[in-house]
Amino acid sequence: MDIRKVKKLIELLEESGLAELEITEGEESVRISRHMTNAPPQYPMPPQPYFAAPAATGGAGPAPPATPAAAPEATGHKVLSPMVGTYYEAPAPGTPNFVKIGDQVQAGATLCIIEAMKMMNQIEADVAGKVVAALAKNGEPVEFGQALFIIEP
Amino acid sequence: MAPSALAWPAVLDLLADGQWHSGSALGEALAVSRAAIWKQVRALRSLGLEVLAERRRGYRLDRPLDLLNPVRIRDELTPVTRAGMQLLEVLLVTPSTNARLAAEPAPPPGQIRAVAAEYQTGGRGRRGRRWLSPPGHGVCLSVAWSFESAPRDLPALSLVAGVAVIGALQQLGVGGVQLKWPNDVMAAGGKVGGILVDVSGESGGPLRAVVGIGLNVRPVPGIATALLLEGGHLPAVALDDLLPGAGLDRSVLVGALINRLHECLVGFGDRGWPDVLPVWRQNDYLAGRSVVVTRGADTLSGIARGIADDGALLVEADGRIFPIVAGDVTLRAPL
Repeated sequence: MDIRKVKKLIELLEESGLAELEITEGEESVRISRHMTNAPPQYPMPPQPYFAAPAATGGAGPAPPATPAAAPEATGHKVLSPMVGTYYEAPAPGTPNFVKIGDQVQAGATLCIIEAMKMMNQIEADVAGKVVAALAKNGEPVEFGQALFIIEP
Repeated sequence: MAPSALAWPAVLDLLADGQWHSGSALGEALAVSRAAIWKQVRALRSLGLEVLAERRRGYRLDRPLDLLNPVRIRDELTPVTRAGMQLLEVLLVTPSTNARLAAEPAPPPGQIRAVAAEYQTGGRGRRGRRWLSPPGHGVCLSVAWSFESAPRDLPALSLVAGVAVIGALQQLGVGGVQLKWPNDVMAAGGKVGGILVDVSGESGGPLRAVVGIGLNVRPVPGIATALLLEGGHLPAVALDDLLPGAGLDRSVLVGALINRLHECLVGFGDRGWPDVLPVWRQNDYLAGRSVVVTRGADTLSGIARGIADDGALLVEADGRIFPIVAGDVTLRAPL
């Protein structure tokens, strides 16, 4: 692929507020991401500040973030995992989930816990709205930047 | 009766000496009916305490209990830590000392809130396993601390807490304690305790961390079997098993733990994790051992090769080193 084309794609990504862009052209494909995708799959910590606002949400304001065309189901605000870890939907086994689909949540409400190195990180809603999708499975691994919830502001 | 609904049964303070007390004497001392005494005794039994009852003699515990004492805990605190204590609470029963602190407002930066309990009804171990320890036998301690912003090495906080535990135990003469990545406290081939850290905070804002520590102090008959059955694969070891002579004073232990945690939390906020990384490495239980890492449906078998500068466990497999940040690590059974 032409290097100028790649440069153009990078600029496009910068302008768009997207986290990641993948283009396939014949047998060639290129994926450009704002995050370090060249890290080994289990690399512990991204270089970003720990609780930095997920880059994909742009200003994290009420303006609906641009949605990748490949993911038509994502019509709301995506809450992304700030870290690699294990996803828990409830404070402890046998207790009710933090939230369920259809719940109205305030910004700052706890949505789930991501555990890494035996540290339980409460993940809070960064916008207020209705929980329309819960995308991760209880007890399953999640990756950095993976979408956990979709909230309709 | 649900233990979570219990206030500290006053009768426990009287029975703690391990001597016989008649029901009427207890009732008189506490100004309650004998039926009320009986109810409190039943409550104590529901916590796993052995209360003997005989018609002529009354009640006694099967052995004297040294209960956590807030005054003695406070006496152990260094002047610096004492000055920073916003709360020191000692409870008989609570669902979880971590949950109790997490439900309260975060302490102001520089201040520390601590809750110790004799018994947790909802203590969490690995994968939600219960932490089983009747009153008078273990230590359940949680400490809340606020960072003005998230420390860069935040994920290493469980490891930092482990270093604090090692320091407190060394101070009390308990040696040979090691840390199993990320949060188990090990000695004599078994598990002495564990650490669980809860963290919450807003993006870019202040961050509240609650560090919970559970330690076996007095041996509990049958608990090793119970733990093995729960799938921990590691026998439970009590700190008293490691010490000749009289057992540890648990109040002194709690005081020492608070001091060391305070010191480590301040250092972690100011200087980060490199401060204590060498101590962690010196006490690495897994280094050189064959391990299996399980994360969801994935497993990785290899040799533990210490920890990376950011606290990730390094596992060597197929000639490569894999940094591990999430998952359960078990020792591979010898073939």
